[in-house]
Amino acid sequence: MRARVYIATTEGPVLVQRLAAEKGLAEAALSAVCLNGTTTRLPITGAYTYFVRDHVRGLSGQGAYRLDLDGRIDGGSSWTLGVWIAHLLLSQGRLAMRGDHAGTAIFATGEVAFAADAGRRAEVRPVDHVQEKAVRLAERMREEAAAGRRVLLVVPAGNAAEAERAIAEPPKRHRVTLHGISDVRELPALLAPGSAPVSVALRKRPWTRMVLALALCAVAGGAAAGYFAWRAAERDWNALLRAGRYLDLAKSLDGYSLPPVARRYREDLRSQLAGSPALAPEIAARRPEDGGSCAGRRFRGGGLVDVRVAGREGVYALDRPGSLCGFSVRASGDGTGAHAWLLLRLVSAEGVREELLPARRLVSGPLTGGLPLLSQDLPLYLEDGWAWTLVAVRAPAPSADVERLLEPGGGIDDRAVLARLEDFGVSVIGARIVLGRRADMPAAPGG
Amino acid sequence: MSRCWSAVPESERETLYRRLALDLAVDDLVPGETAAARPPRFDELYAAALDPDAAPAPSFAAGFAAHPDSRRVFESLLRDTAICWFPAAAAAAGGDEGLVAREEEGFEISIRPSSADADQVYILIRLAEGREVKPVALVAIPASGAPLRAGLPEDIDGVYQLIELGGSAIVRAIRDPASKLALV
Repeated sequence: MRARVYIATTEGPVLVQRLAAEKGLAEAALSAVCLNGTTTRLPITGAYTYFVRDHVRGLSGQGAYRLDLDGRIDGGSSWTLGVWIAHLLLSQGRLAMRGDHAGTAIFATGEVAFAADAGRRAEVRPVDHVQEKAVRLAERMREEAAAGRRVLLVVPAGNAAEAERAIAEPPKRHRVTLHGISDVRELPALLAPGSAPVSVALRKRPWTRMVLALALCAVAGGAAAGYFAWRAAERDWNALLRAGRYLDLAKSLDGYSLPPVARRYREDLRSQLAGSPALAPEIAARRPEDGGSCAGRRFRGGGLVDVRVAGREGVYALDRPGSLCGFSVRASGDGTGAHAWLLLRLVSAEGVREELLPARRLVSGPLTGGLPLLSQDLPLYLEDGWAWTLVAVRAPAPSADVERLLEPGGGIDDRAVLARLEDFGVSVIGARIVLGRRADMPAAPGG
Repeated sequence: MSRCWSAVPESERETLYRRLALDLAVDDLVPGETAAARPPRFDELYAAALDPDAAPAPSFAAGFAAHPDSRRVFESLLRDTAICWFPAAAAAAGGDEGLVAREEEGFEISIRPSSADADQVYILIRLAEGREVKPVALVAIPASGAPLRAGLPEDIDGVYQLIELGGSAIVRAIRDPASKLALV
């Protein structure tokens, strides 16, 4: 039975559509990663080339491959476990590609790298943001399970607990089997048709039950003392919440001696915040009001108008470059007194000077009255393919923690870190703004 | 104050070219001007040849095609400034499908068909050993029509890899012995 492979990313699952030895690149020992079977070459091509040389060649004897994905992966190394699984299945003639029937769907994230030991075995190393990635897999996992496929989630052993938390509910409902592995040599047995899913499945942590039992005893033995302690902790947590100190609050809840109490607080908070409006940034193209060219406007006179751009799957395409003078991003008001941040990062505009197009811009403000607005002027010379990523964050209150996380390097991938704070009403939305008619281009995940 | 062009340091020239190009390009966009058939100006030719940020105006191609002098100036610019210049190949070179590789001064540009996708080809550009200056784009001047430009990704061990449809204009230009190429 064939299996299809998804790479878990912070933007959702990315399907391996096609994988084949590439004779055209064999002489140069190069490989290529492309988007949707097109000629769009993904930035991880260089890293994939070295991955094939280092790891795959020993498996298959081939030194050049063409890999097609149905979504973008622009960097990182957590795609390597999924790609390794795809190569393993290909070598066994069991990789399901476009149109192939599949009996199994494998979702994976993790880094495959040589261990420092003398044997140079390929170990599976933990990666970041596994919880967020696992959460974003839920819908596709549900679809795959509903289609009658066996669904596996494979992560590094060091990330297994994190992944388990993320899919705490779905596994039983959707028959997802979680596997934590530390060495790629575990994979052949794991992926063998009909293999017992419990062979390397995650072990439950016994301490969770112990703490729970102790907590119950403590509650039973000293209800009054427990009650007051709980109330005191809750007051502290509420103070942290009001101050926007979400990281301290998460730390305090994670480290609280009675996990059920902390969990209950989180659940209460979640139910209180349920129904909070999501932040919906509005992107508008800024064009001359007379419809003419942008460059000639200084001779013609006249003002500029903002024309709202409809997004598609998180991608906002700005077309007609001749009449495009800039664009703006505005946070929608919801009258709740919440606070919003808009972070715009230039990801692709080769050779353009920093003073014309800054690499990074951040605005923030309350979602009432004068809403946060980010305007970006564009130079007269434009090229299709220039792209920005937009991270829009909404939080119940101004927060130095959010500001810090949005700083360069504040969280490697800001959205991933912030997504962990969703329990506290912090919502994060990612989008991509591109120049040109590229509305079909999906958003770029960090793999 | 005015300065003689020859007195402008090399480091400032490119900046001045760009400013000049930005200012003068506006002329094309002023209503009432018919720029379709006029020859491209020097700054436009310079930008099209060497400025990675340049986006030639729509009238550029028509003007370039209509004025042979523009082609001569453009070629001269590239020949003098490119990291590597590939002149037209011998007329008899190449098979039925044209050239599959060109080599000059240790640089090699080759076309390799994809075995995974019959419609696509790889353009591989291999750097000459010991050359520290790295190209940022491949410029092709077909025997007729406007010049073409393809930005280069980062090299992998000295090899740049482009993926194109087999029938794309830039692939046809590389295959055509009469076209000229430059790495800039």
